[in-house]
Amino acid sequence: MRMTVKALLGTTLVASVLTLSGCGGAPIESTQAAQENIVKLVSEQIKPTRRENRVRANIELTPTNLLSLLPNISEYPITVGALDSATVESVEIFTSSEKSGKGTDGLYNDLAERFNQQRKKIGNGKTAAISVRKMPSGLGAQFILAGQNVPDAFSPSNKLWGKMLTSQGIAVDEINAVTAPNTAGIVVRKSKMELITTDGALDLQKLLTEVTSGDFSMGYTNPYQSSTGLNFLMMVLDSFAQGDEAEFLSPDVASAFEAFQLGVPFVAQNTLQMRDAAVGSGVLDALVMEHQTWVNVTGMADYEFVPFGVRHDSPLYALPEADEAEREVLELFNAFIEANKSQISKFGFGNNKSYQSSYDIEDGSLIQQAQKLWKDKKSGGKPIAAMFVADVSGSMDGSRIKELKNALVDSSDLIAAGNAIGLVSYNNAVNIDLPVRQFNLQQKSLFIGAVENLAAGGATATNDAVIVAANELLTFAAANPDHKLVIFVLSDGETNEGLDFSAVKETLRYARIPIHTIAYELSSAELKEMAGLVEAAYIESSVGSASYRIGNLLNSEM
Amino acid sequence: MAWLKSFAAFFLLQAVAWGGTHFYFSTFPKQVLLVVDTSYAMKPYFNDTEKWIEAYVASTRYTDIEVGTDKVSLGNINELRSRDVLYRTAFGRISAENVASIYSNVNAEQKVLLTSEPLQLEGWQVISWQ
Repeated sequence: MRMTVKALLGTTLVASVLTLSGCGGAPIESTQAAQENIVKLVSEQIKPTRRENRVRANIELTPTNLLSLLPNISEYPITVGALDSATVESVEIFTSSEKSGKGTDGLYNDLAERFNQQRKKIGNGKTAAISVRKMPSGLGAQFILAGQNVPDAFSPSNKLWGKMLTSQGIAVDEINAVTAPNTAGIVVRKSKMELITTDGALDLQKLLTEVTSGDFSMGYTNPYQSSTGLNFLMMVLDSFAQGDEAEFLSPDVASAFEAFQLGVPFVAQNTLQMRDAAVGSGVLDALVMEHQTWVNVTGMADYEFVPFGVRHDSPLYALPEADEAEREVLELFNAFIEANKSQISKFGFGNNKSYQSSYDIEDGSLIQQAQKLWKDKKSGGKPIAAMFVADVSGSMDGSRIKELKNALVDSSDLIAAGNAIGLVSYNNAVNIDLPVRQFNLQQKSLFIGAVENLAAGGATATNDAVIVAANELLTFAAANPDHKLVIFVLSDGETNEGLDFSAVKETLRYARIPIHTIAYELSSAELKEMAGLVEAAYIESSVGSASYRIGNLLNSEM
Repeated sequence: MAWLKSFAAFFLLQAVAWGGTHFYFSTFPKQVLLVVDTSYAMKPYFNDTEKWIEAYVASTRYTDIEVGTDKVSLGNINELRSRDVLYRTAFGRISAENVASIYSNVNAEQKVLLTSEPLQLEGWQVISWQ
């Protein structure tokens, strides 16, 4: 018995050491050790091929933008409601996620269901009905701007999106400025509260000072997609410009924003990613979040909420698509919302009533210009070197690889020319299709050529490919130390060949290269964990939304 | 009459000398760079800084004054939309290396840094409030 226990203990110990080391060497506990292990794994175990692409593809003269990459609307199904018919006048509302989800995130679902049950008649004799389509505010605004699947009404989280649409000539009629009172805020560790507040209120200059000093790390969400991220961006610019909208984009304001961005460790794709970075790895001292999310979140007892920026009161807008009868339905629904205001606290809305917006924007066109400024300055002046890791295993054959190619080619227009990129493809073996080089026209042409030549077949050695990509980036960084390194992994299957994730996990963690993972028609715990090693994004994508998801990620990261 | 001629000649000479000098200094003004530390710690001294700049500008002629902050160069002081622009990005901490780097290509005869920190910058006159 004693011998068996000893044997078990011994086996466990050996397995642990092997797991930590990746291949039986010393445990990986430093960046240098991780880098050495990467070199060793590549040269001794993985041995990638280097069939570099020489084919230069044609480059489209009209660059792609995000609006041309929008996903199929069916990816965002209607959560509540009925279709228009001879007897029903149904109004579709693009509704932001915190009001159209499940449980406490389902205020509009609840309201619409109860409203529809009343079966109210309108002037044309039809029954009034509301359809709720769950749609992130930024994406909703993009659909409307693109004139694609435009709904009858829109209820984003805050009024910035309404102002942006108005500035683009879209007739946005405000039915109600406040349907679900809410605020955005910075959720900060209680122990660091004093670093960013004065008399309990956010002191933006203190916050900016702490972030730029490097002693305090905060994250915020992509302002192209997130209402809270956009609100934070506009608040910072408003502060620098001292409320003068004519000065929002002046060079000193842009430079100050760039200086601030140097201290921001990363911009998250969603609140969940930031929460994990704060609570899980402890990387963040603060993050942005809506109050309604804050009151419903768990595991953040050590944090406090400090409101900022414009209020997030969920305005309700009628759009040009809404005809007279549909506007009548909207008015009835609005009256129903007002009559049921007492119910909103169940969903976490209606707190912080006394908070007044700290700034306002008159010229909505500034919002898109601010987003562009953010894209240009978000890396704090540092260029980015990225390696794309594309899964070309057998399961990718058919529409998957076709759409992946389209997505990579389309999205390449969203990569700034000052950055550097390369491409690694893999199945059971790994090939370096394109070494990392500056993304000038020549490299872009080679990149598109390499993507177009990808062909599917074989097994899936994702971890091998990621290690090769890291090695390529580290080699590039040795000669270009000013670049920020990043890896994008696109895969449709779990690893079934080459190194186990457990064998490379610590190496990748200590290499400190963010690895954004896109699970293609897949839900993958391993890819999610890989992204979480260095605070990167994990994204699940269907074939139909690949271009938009990849484009959005590149737009925010490159 | 002779004294009148002498006086006229003297006056003319003076006028030419004055005009020449004026023309020379107007064409080749002294280049001065004024940089304001806009760190968070400097905020309490912005009023004093503004008074110092006001007095400096009033006391100088034939001087081309470029201004900037520890974060960015802002251009000629007379072309600023408002002097408030100098103080609006007040956050962070000043770094001497950063200031030296931003203005390394500026060939001013005099470089002045207005700060609340006891900094040493080679080739710079540092005016410090503490």
